Amino acid sequence: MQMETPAERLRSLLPQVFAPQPKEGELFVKLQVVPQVIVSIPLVSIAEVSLVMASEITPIPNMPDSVLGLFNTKGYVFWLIDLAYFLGFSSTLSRVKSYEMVMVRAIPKQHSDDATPTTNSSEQLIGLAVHHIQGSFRMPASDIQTSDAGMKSRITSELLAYVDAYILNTQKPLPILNIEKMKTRLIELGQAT
Amino acid sequence: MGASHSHDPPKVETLFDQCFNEGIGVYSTVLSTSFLPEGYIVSNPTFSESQNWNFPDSSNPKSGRSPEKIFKLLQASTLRQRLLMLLLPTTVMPLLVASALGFLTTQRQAQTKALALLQDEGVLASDIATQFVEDEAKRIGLVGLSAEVSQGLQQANVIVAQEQLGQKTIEALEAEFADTKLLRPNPSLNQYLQSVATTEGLSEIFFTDSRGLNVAFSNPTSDFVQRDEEWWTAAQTNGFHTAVEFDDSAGVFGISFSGALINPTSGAFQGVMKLVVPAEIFDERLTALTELSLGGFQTVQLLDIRDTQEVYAFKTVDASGVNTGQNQEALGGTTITQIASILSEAVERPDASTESVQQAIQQQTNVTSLEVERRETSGNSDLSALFLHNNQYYNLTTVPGLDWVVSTSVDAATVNRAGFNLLGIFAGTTAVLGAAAIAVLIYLAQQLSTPLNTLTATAEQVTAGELDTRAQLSGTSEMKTLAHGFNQLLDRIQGLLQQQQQAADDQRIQRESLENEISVLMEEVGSAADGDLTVRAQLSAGDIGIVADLFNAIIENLRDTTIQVKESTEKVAQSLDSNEAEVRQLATQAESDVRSLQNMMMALEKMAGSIQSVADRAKQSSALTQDNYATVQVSSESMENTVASILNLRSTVAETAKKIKRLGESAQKISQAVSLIDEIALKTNLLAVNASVEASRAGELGQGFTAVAEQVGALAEQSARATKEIAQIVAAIQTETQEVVIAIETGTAQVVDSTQYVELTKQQLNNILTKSEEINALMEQISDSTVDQIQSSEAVNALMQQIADASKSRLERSMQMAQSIQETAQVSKNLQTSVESFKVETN
Repeated sequence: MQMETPAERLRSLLPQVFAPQPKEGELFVKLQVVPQVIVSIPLVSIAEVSLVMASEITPIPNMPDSVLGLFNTKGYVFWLIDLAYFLGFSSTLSRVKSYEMVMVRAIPKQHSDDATPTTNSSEQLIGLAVHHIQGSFRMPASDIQTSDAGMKSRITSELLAYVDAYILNTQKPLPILNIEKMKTRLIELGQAT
Repeated sequence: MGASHSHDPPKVETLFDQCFNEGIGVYSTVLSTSFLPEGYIVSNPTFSESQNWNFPDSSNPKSGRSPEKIFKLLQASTLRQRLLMLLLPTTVMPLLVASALGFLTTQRQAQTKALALLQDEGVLASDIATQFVEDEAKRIGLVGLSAEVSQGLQQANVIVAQEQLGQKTIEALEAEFADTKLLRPNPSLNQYLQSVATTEGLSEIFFTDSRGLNVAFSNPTSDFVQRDEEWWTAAQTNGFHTAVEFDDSAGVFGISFSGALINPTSGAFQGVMKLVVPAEIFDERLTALTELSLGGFQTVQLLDIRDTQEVYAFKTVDASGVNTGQNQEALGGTTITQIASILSEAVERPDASTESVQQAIQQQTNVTSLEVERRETSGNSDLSALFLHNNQYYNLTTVPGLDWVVSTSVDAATVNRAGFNLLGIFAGTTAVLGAAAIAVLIYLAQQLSTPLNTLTATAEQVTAGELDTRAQLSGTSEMKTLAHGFNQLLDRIQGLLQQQQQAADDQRIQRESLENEISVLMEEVGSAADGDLTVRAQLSAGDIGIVADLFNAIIENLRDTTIQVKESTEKVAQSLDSNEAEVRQLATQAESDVRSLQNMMMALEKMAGSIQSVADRAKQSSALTQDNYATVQVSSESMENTVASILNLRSTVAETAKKIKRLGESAQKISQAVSLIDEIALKTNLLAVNASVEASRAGELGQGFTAVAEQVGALAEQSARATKEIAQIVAAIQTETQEVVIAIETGTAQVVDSTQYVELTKQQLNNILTKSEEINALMEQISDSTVDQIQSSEAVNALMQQIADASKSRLERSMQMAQSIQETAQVSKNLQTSVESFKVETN
């Protein structure tokens, strides 16, 4: 056996990493809001996913019921929101020790065409606590369809307010959440209180 | 008894023993028979020895008699016999003993004397021989000192010196002097020697000079040179020599003496003179000895000891006279010659003690009664030995200064016989004294016993009935007193007899008068015997009067009685008639009783039979119950086994429950592990998403990494699914385990229940067992009680039988009674008629 450098060993073990096959489509992450409802968000909007212990969350009084509290990680402090509650479902997250959290980046509208996310001052981070993060998947743009009438009847009105498009080639159409709309709504909620 | 020794006992000891033993024997016989109990006699060893004594005379009246017979004789004999039996031995026995002892003592003395005589003779003979030899030595000295001999010797010396004969050899000298055999023939000297020989009775005399050459002789000698002869050299050396020899030159058997001739003044050795004495001269002296002291039995022998090996006898003197010869046998043979040479050798050594000599003799020979004695007489000593050999007593005595031994011998029988002639005297004396004692004793016994005998005869006459006889007053004063007393006794007896006669006569007269009176009385009352009770006896004085009175009273009483009897008999007859009917009725009733009793007995027997059958049934039931009992016992045992197996099952189930609980716990642990894996899968998924995020942020470069992240995410999703499935399976297991636990608990409860049920069953079986035991006991009780019933019914039966028997016998008795009553009626009728015959009233 020849002595291999760690780089060589990595190369032999993970050939895909070093010989990338260009793939088409956009990356999405499936989120199970409640056991019956699955939504997806674009991978680009996600900063990080993690498990958050309930004790690490600082509840803040006089906030809407959907807001669980403030959370601090990696030098950032942001709000943690119960997504199910926010989307109008009965939440399953009360009385759990830990939350599966998706930290999303609320990208401003004007920058939505830019493919490269930036971390500027305008960037806002929001924590979404979900029932279960199912994983990422790649979807070609052809399969993405903007909202139509047929789809609207299948989802709730709260959900409908944040959905722009649907992924079609699954068993049932998978709605894609619009993070900006949700941010806007959150700001509204914050101002209301 | 001692006087009956008519034969001559050959040995002193035998005689002594016999006399002694007989004396003691008689004495012990008397002792034992007179004073000792009979049992002691039998066990007395002295006595039993006495039976073995050899009584020399079988004609002796006592000798063959056993002690028992003598004892009986002593017991039964008359006074005279007993006196004789006791006194005779007492008197005669000491006489016998004294005689025997006296005889023996005397005989011993005689024997000792005989042996002493033997020794004396030996000594005497020895002395004679010594004397004889000394005489001859003196004779040689006398002749040698005579002038003729001295001259001859001097001449001889001169001649020898002149002719130088000293240097010549013996052969040469013999040849030279063969004619004359003399150095220088000297007729006058020869004549002198011849005259000496003639006068002294010598058979030969001659002498030589200092060189052994013949000087002169009475008779011619066979040799001229004598110095080679033994006697010559012995005489030259010792001064004197004797020999017993047959002299060739003299032609006689004689004793030769040779002595050295010594010059009296100078003491020088001049020559040797030899003279030969005919043995007859010595005989004369010995003959004197024979006449002097030989008792006629002894034999004296002279032995010449030439050397230790050669001994020969040359002279024997006995009763027949002196016997001289050259080749006589030594009496007693080689033993005597051996002892003679030992003595002859020992006498030369003064240091040799008698004991050592005695020992030497005993070692070499086998003679007995040996006594060795050394005798010292005037400077000389001799040894003498006395011993017994071949039944001959020998006494050997050495002759001082000579190699001679005198042997005197005598027959042992002769010695033993010494003093035996005294036996006759002792025997005669004993016989005479014994006879005298016996005569005296017989007379004494006669004297003592005769008056007693007379008195005894008189007593026998009196006993025969001759009471008039009287004893004669004779004999000793005691006897007279006895006879007087006897006579008085007889007088008294006669008086008493006469009185008795008188009394008898008186009685006879009385009896006759009494008989008369009685006959009168008999006549008067005779008719009473025929039943006439009216008669009365006439009263008279005297004894018969009393009898008559008594008789009258009796008749009176009898009459009254008869009257009463008559009346009673009549009454009895009446009552008997009336009773008879009742008795008959009674008998009939008894008969019916017997019959009903028999019926009752039969019924009882039937009852006993039924009781027996009940007992049999009870026994059968008891057997059945027994079987049942056994079966229940077996069931109980199997039930116990069942309980045991159920208990085992229970413990097994409990163990299973434990194990299943453990299984549940394990499932719980699996579930925990699964939740851990689930969490890991969740985190992996999140990691994959983060990876994708980071990769997308990297732009084109991150595309490969994004693919990997996607695959990791897919894997995480798969593991999450798998964990879900596992969780479901575990949950199912847990649910089923729970169910099994519940089922097992139910089973355990059921097992407990069944155990209880089995226990209950067991108890019930035990109850059954107890019950069946009780039933069994009850059955046995029933059986026992039926047995009792049988016994009681048997007893009742027996009682009934007894009653039946009793009533039967009662029936018989009533029958008998009826009959008896009839008979009694008959008897009473008879009695009536009998009583009628008595006449009770005077007409």
